[in-house]
Amino acid sequence: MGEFRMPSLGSDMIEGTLRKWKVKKGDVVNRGDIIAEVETQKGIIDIEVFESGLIGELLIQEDEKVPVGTLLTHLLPLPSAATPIPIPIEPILVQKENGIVRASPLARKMATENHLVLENIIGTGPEGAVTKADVQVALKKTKEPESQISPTPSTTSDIRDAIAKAMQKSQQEIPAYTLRTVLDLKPCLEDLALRNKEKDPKERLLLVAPFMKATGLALKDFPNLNGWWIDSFQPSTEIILGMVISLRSGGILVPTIKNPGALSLEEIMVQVSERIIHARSGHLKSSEVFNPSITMTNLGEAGVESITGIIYPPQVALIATGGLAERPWAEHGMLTVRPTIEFTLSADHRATDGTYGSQFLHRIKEILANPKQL
Amino acid sequence: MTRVQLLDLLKSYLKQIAPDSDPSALQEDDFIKQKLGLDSFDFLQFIILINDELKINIPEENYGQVLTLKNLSDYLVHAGSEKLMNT
Repeated sequence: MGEFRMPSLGSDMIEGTLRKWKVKKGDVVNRGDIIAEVETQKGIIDIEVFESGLIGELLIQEDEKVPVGTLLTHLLPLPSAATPIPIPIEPILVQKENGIVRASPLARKMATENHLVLENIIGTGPEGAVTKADVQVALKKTKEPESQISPTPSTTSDIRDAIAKAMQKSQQEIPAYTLRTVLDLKPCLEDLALRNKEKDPKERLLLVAPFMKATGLALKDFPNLNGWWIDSFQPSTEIILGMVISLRSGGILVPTIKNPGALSLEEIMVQVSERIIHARSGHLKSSEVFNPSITMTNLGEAGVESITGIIYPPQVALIATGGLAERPWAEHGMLTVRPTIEFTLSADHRATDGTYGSQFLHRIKEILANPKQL
Repeated sequence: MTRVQLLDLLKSYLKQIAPDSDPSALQEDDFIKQKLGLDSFDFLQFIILINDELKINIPEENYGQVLTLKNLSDYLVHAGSEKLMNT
């Protein structure tokens, strides 16, 4: 039997509020189905299940705030054949413990798991046996004083609060260094125009796709920028690139793209589009907000030339791109005008040094100078 | 479709893409992206919506010709005059 617990959607998430159940007891769910909406400091996230099964008792009520890891419901095995799906019936075992308490095995297990004393639970089953429902009632009573039920979601202020805490922590704890480089974007823009020429508007690529792919590829050779500083540097086995999405109502959300170096530009674009749409409509899925191992941000559209980004702890690096701008460009003793963009790397000096960071930026530059290989 | 109707239609598309912006206040000569605070992604969604609804495909190299409502509506009338006038 599977357990469905409050997921952790980032190393900084300690609790979440179950805003809405999308299923009820006895519903059949398939892998990838959305079964609940959970409000976190990253906004409201649609929570998916990762295995198929039958939804068990809903153990947490809507609007209840619980710590990460709290059991929300069970996923029971699907009955074979297409017979009507029976709601699992809890067998009541009429058995005495210490000569006094009767309880179903499930109730006993739940009570033990939650450190409840069976003797203190009022049984409503046959011969006063304690049932699962009784344990749930008891559990709820113990939780009530600490559970905070807010009548209306306050996502925007929660997001603000999360940003405030993270940015303050970053400035207080991370000795960051910042490196900048200006890239000649002519090859990249020409390549993109060529790729987009035959494409339907729906399939057109934006610059973010080659930027993400180049970052993913470059990071393979620079693993010390990809991970977290938690007392010491902990490299991430995968490249989980966070992309900063600004919300028009204020605040930012950071969904993630996994291993962009291994995806095609088209695949990256599809994922980026989905995440932007989901983020702005308040329906990011849990699989779209894995714990980022590095973050990328772009403020160029807002008209700025460059950004000195603040690293999102416990990550150790942040890549920022500024605005696309024509600049005078000297090359081979000639002066021309080129479309350019400024890349900035903010990195944690505890994890890497400036030379390492500058080599990484140089690698991105090399990759984007040869965009056909992307 | 009259020009006024076309402009209203385009503004309704913009409202769909950026629900918390105010396209109704957009003047014909305003730069759409800047005025409404749209990014490249939003603008691409706008181009996609025009393609889906009006069946007019604006190639990327022509984006420079459709930056204001005035230019965009001229472009659309020119590119798909039959379709637009018969709807």
